[in-house]
Amino acid sequence: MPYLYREDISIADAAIEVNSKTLEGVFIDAGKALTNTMIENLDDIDQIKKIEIDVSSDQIDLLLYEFLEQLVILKDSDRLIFNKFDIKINKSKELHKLEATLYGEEINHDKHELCADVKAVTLHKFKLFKEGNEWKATLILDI
Amino acid sequence: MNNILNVAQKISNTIWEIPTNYKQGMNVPVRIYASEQLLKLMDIHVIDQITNVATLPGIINYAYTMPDAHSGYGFPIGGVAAMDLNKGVISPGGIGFDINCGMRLVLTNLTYKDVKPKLKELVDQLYNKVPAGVGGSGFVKINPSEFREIVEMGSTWCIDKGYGWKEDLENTEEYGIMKNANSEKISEISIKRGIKQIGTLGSGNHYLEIQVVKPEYIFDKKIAKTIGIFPNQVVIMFHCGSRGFGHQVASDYLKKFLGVMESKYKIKILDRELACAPFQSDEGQDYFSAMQCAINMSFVNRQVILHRIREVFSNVFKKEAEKLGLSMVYDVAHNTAKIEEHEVNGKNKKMIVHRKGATRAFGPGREEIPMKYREIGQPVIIGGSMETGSYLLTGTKEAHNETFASTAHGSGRTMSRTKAKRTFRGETLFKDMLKRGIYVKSVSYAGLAEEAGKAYKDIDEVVDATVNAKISKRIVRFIPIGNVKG
Repeated sequence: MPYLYREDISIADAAIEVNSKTLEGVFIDAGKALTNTMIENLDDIDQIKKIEIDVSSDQIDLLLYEFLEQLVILKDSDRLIFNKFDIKINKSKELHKLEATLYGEEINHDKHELCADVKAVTLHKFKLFKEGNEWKATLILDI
Repeated sequence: MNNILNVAQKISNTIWEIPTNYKQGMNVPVRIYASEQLLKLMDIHVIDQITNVATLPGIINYAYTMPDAHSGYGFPIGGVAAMDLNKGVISPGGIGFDINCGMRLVLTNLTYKDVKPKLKELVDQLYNKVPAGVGGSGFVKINPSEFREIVEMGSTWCIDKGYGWKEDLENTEEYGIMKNANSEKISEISIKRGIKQIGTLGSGNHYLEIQVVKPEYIFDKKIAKTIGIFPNQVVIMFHCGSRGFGHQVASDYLKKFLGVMESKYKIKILDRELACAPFQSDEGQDYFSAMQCAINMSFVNRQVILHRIREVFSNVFKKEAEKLGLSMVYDVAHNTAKIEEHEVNGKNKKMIVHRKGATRAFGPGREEIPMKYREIGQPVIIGGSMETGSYLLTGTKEAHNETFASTAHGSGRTMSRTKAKRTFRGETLFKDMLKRGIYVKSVSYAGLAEEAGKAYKDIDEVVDATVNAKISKRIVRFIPIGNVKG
């Protein structure tokens, strides 16, 4: 499992640990984990809509935060959820830049088994770091 | 079992203290309001978080946790901290992302006997009229400039538009409007997130419940009568907040504060979620104005939901809502920071009181509460789990001295959502509850399992602790019979 819900970190909210061989992979799996917190089965999401976003930050962990926040915003503003993410990350000067293509569809209460709504990505214990050959992230989503 | 008992000194049966030498940088001690049993159940992260809160600049007297406290981010849920207006800070993490998440209690003149045959129809219609769950959209169609008007006008906008009765304003904290809300201080993205969500419940622990007053659970008959409560009466209680709009306001300012906190104001914190700015700074004042917009949006959300409830009851019982007695008891806010006056060292002092997952509990005599409640104290609405029950309490004079007039807000979780989903099956829970006379309409069985009663603390134990600590007075306990869940 590329991501794991941690029960010992947060009781009321969703604490998630993500592992990947690549930096882009952590972003992709964190995106899936965020969606999976709200939708029981990711395979129920059809890739009907394609959305392109870009975010930047001078800190790599905050780049992940900004990316996830965009997913929460799209869920509320356009009722969109995604299960496929194409991610490109570049660094120019001191700025990390992310370009992403998101694939998914509008929330459908008849089709998607809904769980708790993710209200926000928190910075509490928010981490993104490389350990050996693996990238790791921990995040707590406000429910 | 945690080791909180090893670090907290017993002051009384319901008050525990952690001294300032527990952690470097603590400006004040911590006071935990809980019975020994609740303290044993409290997760240890609460202690780490509330002792971090005690390090914030300008904090007055103590950092407090209420009996339903559990860990959150930055502040624990059930955390209270009052800050000096001149030397203190304001922190979005001390208010929570769901700004003015709160409870509303509504009376009816119906009894259980009247409602029982129509319960399923009522709950099904409420489910259709009050959208719940991820991605729910409300019926109020507005443009961005109208949204800006709404967040400045609060519930008064609803009354102007016919979504409420004039008396509803009197029965809402702050009379339904925070007057210093300034929509110039909110982002376009926050508007985009909230514009479709007025009149929606949300998910997680947000719900709309039909409840019954059992005669044996009226603990103070005189006050219950003053409030309009009688034996076997049916009441309606609901819990929701400022939805995506409030969350974005908090996120926007959390980032702004992180950018200036250390570089401009030399404030060091122990957790990024405690990001803050001096209350009197430009950034602090901007957030205070934006947060008041979110408080207003939440009042509007609950007011529009009340309008829909009145429509449903009127439709099902074929009578006008006024004739069914659908009057509000009160609307209380959980996640706020407000300027209030309290006594410190024998002198009255204005301060900014942060309550995150805690309820204001003004006692008798306070001018801020409506005349009809001034002798009995502010109604405090405590939501329990969907299986167990809820309470109506009132504020006390003692709460002013103890906790800057703050008390609990609910039962508080003891089990994570993942564990709850693994432990309980939503469909089984639905059938079990139906056998016990509780009809639930939920967006999904998975969401239902997350909210199982056993995933929460014992509501009676929480209320006992608030009563024993004298920070609230017990009036009535309500039993659930119908529930709409996100």
